[in-house]
Amino acid sequence: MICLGIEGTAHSIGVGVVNDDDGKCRVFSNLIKIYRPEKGGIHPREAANHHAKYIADLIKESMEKAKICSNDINLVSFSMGPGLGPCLRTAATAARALSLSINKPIIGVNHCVAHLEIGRGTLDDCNDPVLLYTSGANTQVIAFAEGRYRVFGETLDIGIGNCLDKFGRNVGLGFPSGPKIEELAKKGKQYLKLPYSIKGMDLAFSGLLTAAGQYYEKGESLEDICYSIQETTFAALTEVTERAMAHTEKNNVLLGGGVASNKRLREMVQIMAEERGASFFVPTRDLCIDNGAMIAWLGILMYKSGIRLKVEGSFIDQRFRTDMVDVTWRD
Amino acid sequence: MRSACFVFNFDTKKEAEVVARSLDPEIKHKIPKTNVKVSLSDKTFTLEIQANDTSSLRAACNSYLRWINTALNVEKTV
Repeated sequence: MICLGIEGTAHSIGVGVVNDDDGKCRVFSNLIKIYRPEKGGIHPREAANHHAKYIADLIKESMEKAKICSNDINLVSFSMGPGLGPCLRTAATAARALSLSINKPIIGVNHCVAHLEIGRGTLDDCNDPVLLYTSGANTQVIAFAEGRYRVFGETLDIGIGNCLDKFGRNVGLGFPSGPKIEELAKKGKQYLKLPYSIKGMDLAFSGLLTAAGQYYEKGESLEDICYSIQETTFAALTEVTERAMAHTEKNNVLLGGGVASNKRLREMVQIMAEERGASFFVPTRDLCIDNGAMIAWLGILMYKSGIRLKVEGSFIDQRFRTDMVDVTWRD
Repeated sequence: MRSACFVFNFDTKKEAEVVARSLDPEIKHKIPKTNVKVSLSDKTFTLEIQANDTSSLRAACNSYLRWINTALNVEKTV
C-alpha cells in the first residue's frame, strides 16, 4: 500500500510518500518547505498562505521523487491536529482535493502519534518505546498503555522549542534559534542557576525563559546562558522520560520533534538509557522534524486496522490530544 | 451586516465538484462572526459570505479564497 501524507500543523508544509513493506515503513520521498518569518514568531495566517503557495508543487515533486504517478497512490493522509487552525485547514483542503481528484480514500491522523509511529516503523527493534517528543509547540512524554498512547508528562506552558526560539529571538539569534543556541552552548564555561521546574510528571519552561532573559540583560555571557538553558531544560526532560520508562517498565526510548536534532539532548537521553540497560533510538533528522512521511505511515496503519473517514467528515481538530486516538492497530 | 459574493466558472464540472467538496468541511466548520453559503451548478460554484463587520468579512474572504485556490491547484497538478 502506497500512501501520500500531507503535514501542515504549523510552520512546515510537508509531503511524503511511503510504502508498507511487510509491516515496516519504506520512505519513497519526503519533501518539506518551512515558513521562516522575517521577524517575530509564526503568524498563523502567513504560515497558511505559505502552505497554500507551495502545496501543489510539493505534491507533484514528491510523486516525481518517489517515481510514482497519481494512480499508484492507494491512500491520502493528512495531519488532522493538533496545530494552528489556518495551517491545518489548508493542508486538509489540499488532502481532500487530492483524494477526490484521484478517487482514493482519505484519512486524518494525529500529528503527535505520527512522530512516535514513524520511529517504530523505520527503526529496527524500536517496538514499544517511550517517546520524548520535543518540538516548538509540543513537549510530551508518550507511551502506549492499555489501548492508547498516554501522555505521562508534558509541558504546562510553552514547548521546549518555543522556549529556545523565544530566548533566541529576544537576544537577536533569529528563527530557528535552536541550532545557534546549541553552537553557543558548546563554548559555555560557567553554569548559571536557572529554575528547574518539574511539577509531578509535567514540566514548565516559562520561568526559566524569563530568568535567562534577565541574565542577558545583566550582561552575562551569551555562551554561558545558552549552556545553562540546555543543561537545565534537557536534564528536566531526561528526568521525566526516565520516570515514565520506570513506571511503564519499557526498555526503548525514542526521540522525536525538531529539538531531537540537538546533540546534547541526544547525549543526555542516551546516557540515561544506557544506565538503565535500555535501547536508545532517534530517527533521521528529516523524520524527526514535522514531515509528510510520518503522516503517510500513520495513515497506512490506521487504514489497515479498519479506520475509515469520509471527505465530508474530515474536519481538523486544533486541540486533538494524543490520548484521544483510539489505537486500533496495536494490541 | 457586510456581505460578499464570489462566482467561479470552472473549466470542467469535475473541477467545480472537487473544489466544492474539498471546501465542504470548512464551510460547516464556521469562521467566527461569519455566515457562509455555497451552491454548485454544473461548472459554476458560488460562495456567499456574510459577516458582522468589514474586518471579519475580509478575513473570511481571504481564508475561503485561499482554500479554493489550494484545492484548484492540487486538482490541476494531478
